[in-house]
Amino acid sequence: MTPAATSDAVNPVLSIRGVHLAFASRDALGAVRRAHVLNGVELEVGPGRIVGLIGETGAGKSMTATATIGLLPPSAEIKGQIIFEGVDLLSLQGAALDKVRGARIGFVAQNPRAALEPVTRVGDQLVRLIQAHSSLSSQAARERAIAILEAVGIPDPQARYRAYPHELSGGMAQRVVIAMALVNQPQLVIADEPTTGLDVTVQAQVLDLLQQLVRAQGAAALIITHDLGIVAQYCDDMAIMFAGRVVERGPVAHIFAKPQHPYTRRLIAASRARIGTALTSMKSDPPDLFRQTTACVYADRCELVAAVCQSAPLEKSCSTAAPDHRVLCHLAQTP
Amino acid sequence: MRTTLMAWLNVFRGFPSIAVGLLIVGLYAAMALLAPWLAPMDPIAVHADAVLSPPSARFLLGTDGNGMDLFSRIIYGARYAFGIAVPAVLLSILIGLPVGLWAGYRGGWIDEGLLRCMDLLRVFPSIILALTIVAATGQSIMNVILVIGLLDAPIFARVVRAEILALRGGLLMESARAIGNGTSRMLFVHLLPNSISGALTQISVRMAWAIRVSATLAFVGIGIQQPTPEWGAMIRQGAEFMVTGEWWVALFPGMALVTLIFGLNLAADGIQDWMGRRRTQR
Amino acid sequence: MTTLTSPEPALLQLKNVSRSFDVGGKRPLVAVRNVSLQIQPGEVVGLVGESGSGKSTIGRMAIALLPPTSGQVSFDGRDLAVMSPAELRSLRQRMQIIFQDPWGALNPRHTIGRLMEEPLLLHTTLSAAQRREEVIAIAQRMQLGLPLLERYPAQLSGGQLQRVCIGRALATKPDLLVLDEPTSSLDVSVRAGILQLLDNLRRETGVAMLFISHDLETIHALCDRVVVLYLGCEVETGPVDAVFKNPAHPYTQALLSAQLFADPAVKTVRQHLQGEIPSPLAAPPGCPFSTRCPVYDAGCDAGLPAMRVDSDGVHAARCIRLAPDRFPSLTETN
Repeated sequence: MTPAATSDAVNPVLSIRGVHLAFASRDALGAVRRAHVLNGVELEVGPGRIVGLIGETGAGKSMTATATIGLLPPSAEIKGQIIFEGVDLLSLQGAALDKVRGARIGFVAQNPRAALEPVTRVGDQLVRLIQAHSSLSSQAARERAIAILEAVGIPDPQARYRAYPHELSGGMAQRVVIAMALVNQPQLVIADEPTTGLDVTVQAQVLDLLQQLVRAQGAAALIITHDLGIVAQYCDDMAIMFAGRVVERGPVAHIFAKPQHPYTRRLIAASRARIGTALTSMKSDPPDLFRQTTACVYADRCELVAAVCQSAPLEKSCSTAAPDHRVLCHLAQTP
Repeated sequence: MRTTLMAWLNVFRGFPSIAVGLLIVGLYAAMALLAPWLAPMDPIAVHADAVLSPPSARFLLGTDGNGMDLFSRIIYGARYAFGIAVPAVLLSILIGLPVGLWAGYRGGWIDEGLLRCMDLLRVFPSIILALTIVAATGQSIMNVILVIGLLDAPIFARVVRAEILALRGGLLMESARAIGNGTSRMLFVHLLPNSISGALTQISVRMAWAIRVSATLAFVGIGIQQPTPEWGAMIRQGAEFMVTGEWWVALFPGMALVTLIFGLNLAADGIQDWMGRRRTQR
Repeated sequence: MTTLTSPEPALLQLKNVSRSFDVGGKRPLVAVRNVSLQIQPGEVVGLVGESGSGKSTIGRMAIALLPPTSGQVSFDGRDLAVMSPAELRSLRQRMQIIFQDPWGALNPRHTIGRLMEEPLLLHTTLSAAQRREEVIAIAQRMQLGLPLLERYPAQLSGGQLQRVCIGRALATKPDLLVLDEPTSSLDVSVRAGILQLLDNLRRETGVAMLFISHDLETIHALCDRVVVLYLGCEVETGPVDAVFKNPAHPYTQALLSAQLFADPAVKTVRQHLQGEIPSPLAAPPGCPFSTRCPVYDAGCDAGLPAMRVDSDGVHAARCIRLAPDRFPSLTETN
């Protein structure tokens, strides 16, 4: 099944609007400080599209996923809207949220060993998930579980059904996690760095599988990663995050061909060439999340920086060449 | 200098338990040091005319069965509390740290010996053990210090050993060796300084413990005797008078004891929290 | 190893080196199996492999952090196994290592200045003032601001700390630098800077490097030669261009095809490998790659294939399916 030609001409599956997230804490010396982890995130996932959310450490990409799936700790201060199937997920609590999670939204966690319960057999965990969101009998649920284990490429699924997570290798465990994310036919799959810790050869296998299953089910997907290679090879659209904001988003082919934001250009150059780039002299510290500003946070390391960047607030992103290719930059050209 | 002061004030603001705990301990320490100037009267002076008199303007906390001023005795009692606790804990550290270091780093019979020792100590309630040993070996202050110090040493050893075991085969040690450090530098410059945070938090706890044990010993009649103004001994005497209505003889020494122990434990808790926070954040 | 026909003694030489670990079971874990390797002065050799390949173990053996269970490791012609602890410690100023995790490798209680001074303290007779001067010079070469010298490791970023580690390693002007995945835990935009720094350093100082990584593009950019490892065995070795443009071993081919390029226009034809890397405890009897090889046949179980080298004597691989006209001869070490 081919993805829709344009991403948000139709109603998007997931729409993240103006999300701000902060955490208050005490530092080692006892003073209170607030980390502004997300600063007005704007993001959309179109139906049937695979979107890559890319950023480096501290950009806020994992937090975006955590906020969407409703797993933020109680101390999180969050504002904004995350609209899924017409409902604001941030307004849901308890049972209402549970109905969405695991059934309408599937989640593939970063560390399969952390995501799977160590004392329960793999098959039983799948069956539990199936029965929580449907009225299938145990027998029917078991058959469905074995079917999905086979679909994710686990050899001898009948036997593996009875395995415990620690008996599986890293790649196998990650396939089980993918199975759990997809077994209830979700509308949206969120995968948080799904190939961390996997070997290079296994990584390609797992991503091929994820892409194939997501397309087969006609679902949309949000893949969070720091690897531009994954985005280039597997995603239809992409969104680049820096210091809690989405600085550029749009179709993958477009952005790689004509990256508009200086940070995007820098990331692409750094991912391709290894040596001989002029990037070495740039400031490489992660941005200070304790400093809140409405102006551009990238300004102190941007090669295009102008006076307006330090002072004027960055509100709405501007559109560029394509209507769905948006950039958050004062100096981007608006056609 | 000013910035370190500000830093400390911030710590106290974030961890009030450290502040309150250290304040209490500090007050008592001041009491111990400045006793001759703080106490209004000689602690062992007998006032035959005012035996068992309740708190008044003359005797702020009343007098005991021998006519001695409770207030002055309590102030001097702080000397005995610290005078036993501090040397005892120092002794524990002096013995426990090297043993723990060796046991963690080298293993072998020292490690086995230490573990068996810990097992043995776990079998007996430690107060009973302390009581028995002091009663058997002679009832002097020096003895009390020695016994408490020796009984606590394995705890310091165990705490240091645990941290050393965790670091021993790790990247820090590999890196230190790769740079060209010899064994003694690896041990004392790299391994040990990163393994003592547990021991530091134990100091306050063990001091509280030492004070409790010495007070208990005196209460049971072992160790320190009258007319020495030690809180445990004072409580012992006061216990008899509770029944006859002279409540102040036991109560005030008791409160002094409890408050100091509370302060020490509070500080210990706070330090532990603070160290934990520092490790994950700094 | 491959007949690098060079008459001078190699700077670092591993001859038929194996290493096993006793993990409490019936069989020991064989991490490295009969590997031979040499590095000439000034050369940069890459060690490529995935988990279980033994690359980290080889790195540690090269620098005498771990003794081999069999075989010989020599530095500048001297066998490391027969050196006294004092001689070994003194030798360390000539060979250094950079680890993957800079936070774990540095003492959190020492300032950066003190950390960078340590090798000078251990190996030279410079006075405190001279050491201080040298540390400042190194910090400047590593593009680290001088205020950083008073800070502690926890206050620096990954990229800065890795520069500290590199500066520290180069303080005694070593002849050999082993780098164990030095940029794997760093952000993408920081990696390029570190790699550029390493490239500059090797050109300026002529230091030889053993660069361990699983990232083929980095190895291609930085190294002269590459050794591909699988389950503790070398499966292919040779000049980096030859190996990457014309990979001979099926594993190297699969590895190259699994690379994801940051360019949607470039789509590699993916070779689908079955299964996963077997545990070193359950290594296959013959060729280690036999359980997943797309061109496997029964002959592959006969035993570890011999290393065959091409007519120039530089590009070699261990596979019974190599074209005999391309790889005509066997090498001397096996």
